Amino acid sequence: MLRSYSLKARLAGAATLAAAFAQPAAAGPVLDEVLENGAVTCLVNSNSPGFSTPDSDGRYTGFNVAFCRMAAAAIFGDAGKADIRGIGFSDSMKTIVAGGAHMASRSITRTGTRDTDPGMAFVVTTFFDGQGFMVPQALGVASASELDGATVCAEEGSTTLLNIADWFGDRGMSYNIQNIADKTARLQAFFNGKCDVMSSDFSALAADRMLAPEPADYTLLPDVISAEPLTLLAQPDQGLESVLFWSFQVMLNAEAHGITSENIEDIVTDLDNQPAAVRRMFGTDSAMGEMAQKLGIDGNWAIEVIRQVGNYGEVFERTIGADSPMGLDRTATANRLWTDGGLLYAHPIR
Amino acid sequence: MAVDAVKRGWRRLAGDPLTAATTFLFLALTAWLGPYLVQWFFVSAIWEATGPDACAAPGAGACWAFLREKWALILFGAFPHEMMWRPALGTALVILALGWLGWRRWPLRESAFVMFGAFIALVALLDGRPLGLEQVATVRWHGVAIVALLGVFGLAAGIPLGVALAIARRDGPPLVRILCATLIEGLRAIPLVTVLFFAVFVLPLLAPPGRSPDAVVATLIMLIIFHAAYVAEDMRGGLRAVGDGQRDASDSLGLRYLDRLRRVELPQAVCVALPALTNTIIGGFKDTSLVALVGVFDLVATTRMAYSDAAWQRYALEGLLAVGAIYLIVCWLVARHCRTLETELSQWRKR
Repeated sequence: MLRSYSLKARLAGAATLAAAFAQPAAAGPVLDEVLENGAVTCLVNSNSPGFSTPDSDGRYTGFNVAFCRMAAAAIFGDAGKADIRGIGFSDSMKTIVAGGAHMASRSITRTGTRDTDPGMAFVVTTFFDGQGFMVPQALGVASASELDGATVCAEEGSTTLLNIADWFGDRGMSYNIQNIADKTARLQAFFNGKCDVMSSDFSALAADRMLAPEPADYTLLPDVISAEPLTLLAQPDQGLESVLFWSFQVMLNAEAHGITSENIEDIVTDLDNQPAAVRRMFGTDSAMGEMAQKLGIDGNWAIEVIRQVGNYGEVFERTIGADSPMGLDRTATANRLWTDGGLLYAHPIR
Repeated sequence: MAVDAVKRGWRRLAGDPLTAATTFLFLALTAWLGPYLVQWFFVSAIWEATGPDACAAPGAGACWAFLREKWALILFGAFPHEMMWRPALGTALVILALGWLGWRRWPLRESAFVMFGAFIALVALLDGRPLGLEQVATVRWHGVAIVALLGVFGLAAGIPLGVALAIARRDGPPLVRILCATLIEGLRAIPLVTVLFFAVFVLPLLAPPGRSPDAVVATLIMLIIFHAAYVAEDMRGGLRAVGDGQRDASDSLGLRYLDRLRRVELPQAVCVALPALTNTIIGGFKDTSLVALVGVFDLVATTRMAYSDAAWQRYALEGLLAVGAIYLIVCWLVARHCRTLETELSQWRKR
């Protein structure tokens, strides 16, 4: 035991020495800039219930905010070093391209044309969403194909209106749009019967339904008319993209192995008795530690991400899950591990 | 005496059929809506709550507990709350400066000095660096601080600039006159929102990369120029009303050009233009809320932040009513002050 410890220590020492003589981290200029800056600038929506909104003390919280904190915990070992900024939808991509922020965690759908834009890189999908319809039970509609001639309440901008146009256009159905930018006003209009149907992303609709005077009077139609992989956006940079992608994989792997922010301390102190896949995640001489060295960040980044942010499932339940005010049933979405029938595939850390 | 008062009151409320009908209509409206409003605003309103659940109880009226929970967020947005005293003190200084100058009836040199000082103090407090405090970037300047910065100083700088534009348009060399007229008429023909969009989204494209102007600074500059165009038109009307006779009289007294402007023409022009200026000031102040559209977080935007908390989403109306009340109070004070000034100035003119 003692010998193995000293061997470890010596190896660690050698590694430190090697790092000291190595070339300046080949991580990438943006990650270097983040490290120099002392904070990672992260753009979020300023008023998206459950996903990102300031709490009563002015600090941003929510599902999307967790990934800003994840990045800061990975890079600096301190989730508080995320400089989180509220910003409008289209401005966020412009700001990334102009170099005004390092990353955006803002429910941005990854599309081909956006991905080929220079100056920004989609990194990893954090939430699989899709556009759907909510109708009053009284309308007596069971499928979106029965909505011919309906008046649809929807938000302008984004891809929502385009998807509606595609859906109705492809089927030769007529429709009217009630285009209301403000969410509260849009919901008021819908609940007061100014439109027959409301269209938005499923995650949003589920939460909106809870705001109805009588939620049971409304139902979500089963049709999903679009794919919305909501994806983290970053300045193109191998280092920064690696940090974001693999921190996220740590959150998925941790969930797969039942590691949470609650039990991470016990796991780390008892690391030798853990399965090999867990041992590869934590500590400076793990696979994650090796990656950290190449990236020029602290070897315990995986521990800090789980300790300060939590695994994916924890974050989901805490911010938008069934017991949160958003009341989103995770099992009804694709945002489960693939082993549970979802789309989240934990990549191997080794 | 009392009978007289009753008679006068009666004549006012029901002197002729039309007045009587209007009075009756309003009485009926009050009787019809009043109870609901009183019920909602006061009787069944929830004033204190540990959480949003109390407000969701059946029959609950206004959820003032929402404001109790979110007041700091509405007033200061995401400005770090442990440093909340900075925007609070800065805004208080601006209000004090305005109150003091209003009471002193806006002596020219003092006004310029005090307003400039208040501006420096506000910006220094918000930014922090000049005072050796931790820097807070402009992206976190939210709520009342933005209203104080853009609403007050957009006008405080816009008014003198507008006066200068009006004078340059009248007395400048031909080229300057044409330039001023083009600028004024051009800006008045463009909606403020378009101007703001230009400032925040188009200017950065023209600027060299990495040096794009800050959104708050760009918005402030655009507001100043925009308000100046309207003030210039108000003042043009005032200057025209003064008439050529005053100029000839000043010339015959041997007054130099600047003295003529300062002592003869401008004071009279301001008297005439004051009602129009009041309009511009109130309208301009209210227009500050349009900056929310370009991603600057004024009070309306911070209120939206507050009611986007998943647990408090139902109480947007309470938040917006509170912000409306703030605007109402400010605009009412401005209107009242300007009316006092008008009365005093008209007495001064009669002398």
